[in-house]
Amino acid sequence: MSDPIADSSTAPSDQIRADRACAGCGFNLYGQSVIREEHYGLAIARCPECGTVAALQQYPVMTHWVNRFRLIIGGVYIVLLLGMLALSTFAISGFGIAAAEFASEPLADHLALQHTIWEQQVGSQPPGDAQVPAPINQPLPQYSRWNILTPKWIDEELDEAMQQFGGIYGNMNAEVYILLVPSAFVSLVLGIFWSVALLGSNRSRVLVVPAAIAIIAGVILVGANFDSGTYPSARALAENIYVMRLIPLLLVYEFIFMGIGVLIGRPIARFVVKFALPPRSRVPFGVLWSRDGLSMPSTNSARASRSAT
Amino acid sequence: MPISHTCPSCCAELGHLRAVPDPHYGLGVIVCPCCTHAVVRVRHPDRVFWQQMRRLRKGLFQLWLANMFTALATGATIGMAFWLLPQLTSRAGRYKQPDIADPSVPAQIIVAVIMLLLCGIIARVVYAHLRFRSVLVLFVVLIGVFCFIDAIIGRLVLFALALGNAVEDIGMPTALELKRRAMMLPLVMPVFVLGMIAGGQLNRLIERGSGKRIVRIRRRLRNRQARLD
Repeated sequence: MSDPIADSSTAPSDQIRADRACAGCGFNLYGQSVIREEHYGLAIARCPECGTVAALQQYPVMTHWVNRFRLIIGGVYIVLLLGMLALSTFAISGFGIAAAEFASEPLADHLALQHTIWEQQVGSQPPGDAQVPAPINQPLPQYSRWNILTPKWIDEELDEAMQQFGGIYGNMNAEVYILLVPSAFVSLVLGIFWSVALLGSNRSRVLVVPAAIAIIAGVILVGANFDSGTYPSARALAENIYVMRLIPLLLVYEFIFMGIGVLIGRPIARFVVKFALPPRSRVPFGVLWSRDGLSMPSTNSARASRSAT
Repeated sequence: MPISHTCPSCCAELGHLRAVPDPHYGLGVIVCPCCTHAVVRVRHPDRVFWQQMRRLRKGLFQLWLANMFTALATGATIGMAFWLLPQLTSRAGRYKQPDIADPSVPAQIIVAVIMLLLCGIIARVVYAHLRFRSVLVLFVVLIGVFCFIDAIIGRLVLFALALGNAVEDIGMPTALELKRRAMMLPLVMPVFVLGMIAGGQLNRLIERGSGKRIVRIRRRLRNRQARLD
């Protein structure tokens, strides 16, 4: 049985002298004769293994897998970014919780002490008698900031105890200020990360992410500590008081540092890439420059030749 | 071997020819040597995608490697400096007592000097694309900052505590300790710089070797093209 294509072909004009895989079986068509088929005048070659005809002038086959891989990679990237958003919120919230805990220690001790004194007074007071003032120059009773405060004491004595304590900000544990150093550093690093990770947006839009992180952290912390319960411990009550006053300030402080990180993140990334990589290896990172409308840094020799011309 | 690309006019194999970007559209154009027909070389999208991914992966790996080697060279230099100074000061103390003087150079000091030279070589080879001065400034800054990092953080903490009118002993390095560290830098940096100079020479040798290899490959391609023609 004769092959119509082979029969209709003209004499071989050339050979394939480079790699070309057969579309049917993947066999390398290197060395096969190129013939011009009669009907359309197309250049073709025939696979010696499976006999499939390969058209040699063609647009490359477009598979769907490139787009699928792009979709998969994009999806994975978005999932990673969402995970990073959660991690950023946890980190920022963690500093808020630590700050409230540190700062509230003196107030918690004070409330526990006042409550213990009040309990002793109430316990020693005969029923129906008028209130006896607390004896002076008596050793301080044993107390703990984990003591449970009674609703009656909260209703009757809490305001007076707070007045005795003095200023909320002035009397807080000074060690809370140490947290300003690591929280600023972590916020700065997070800002730099978001600035580089969200290259699709300009920097003013990236600032939305730190703002969202600060708002989510604020809502979680204030919402979780909104009500300390009917029988709170002295520590929980003191922490609750500080959460409302301290955490908004700390979140604003962290947002400022995240904002600075967003502003300096891309220049830092460009500096690191420019410093660490030779010009040829910088090409995949060109988006760091092109995103901000900058041109890729050229080598000294290229700059010299350009200035010479 | 390149991917096959045939001339649509005369079916000649054009795979070995380099596509020159045309000045108007930037397309890779090849002029067939047999029939002078101009052909545009279109790259397969699959191939372009994976090539980009491969380049990105390679670039990220190189970036990671450069950072790792920078951290290694900085850390090892600081480590050697911290270790070397007590060794030298103790030896200097012993020299004052002639009874227990040991004039032989101890092996530890030789090892430390070799390590410092090695750090300098690594620094120069990793940053071969930069000028000598830039690499030197980078490492002086890095080593300087990380030598005094505890003092810097301590100062920041004290500043933060001062905001709350609190004074605490946070275990800051003493002035004498800082002075000793400052003395270490001029002690180790000359050896490090010597290592950098050696690294520069080594890099020149590597570049010369790769240059020769490129010339060899080009000659082979030229010969093959001549045989095909």
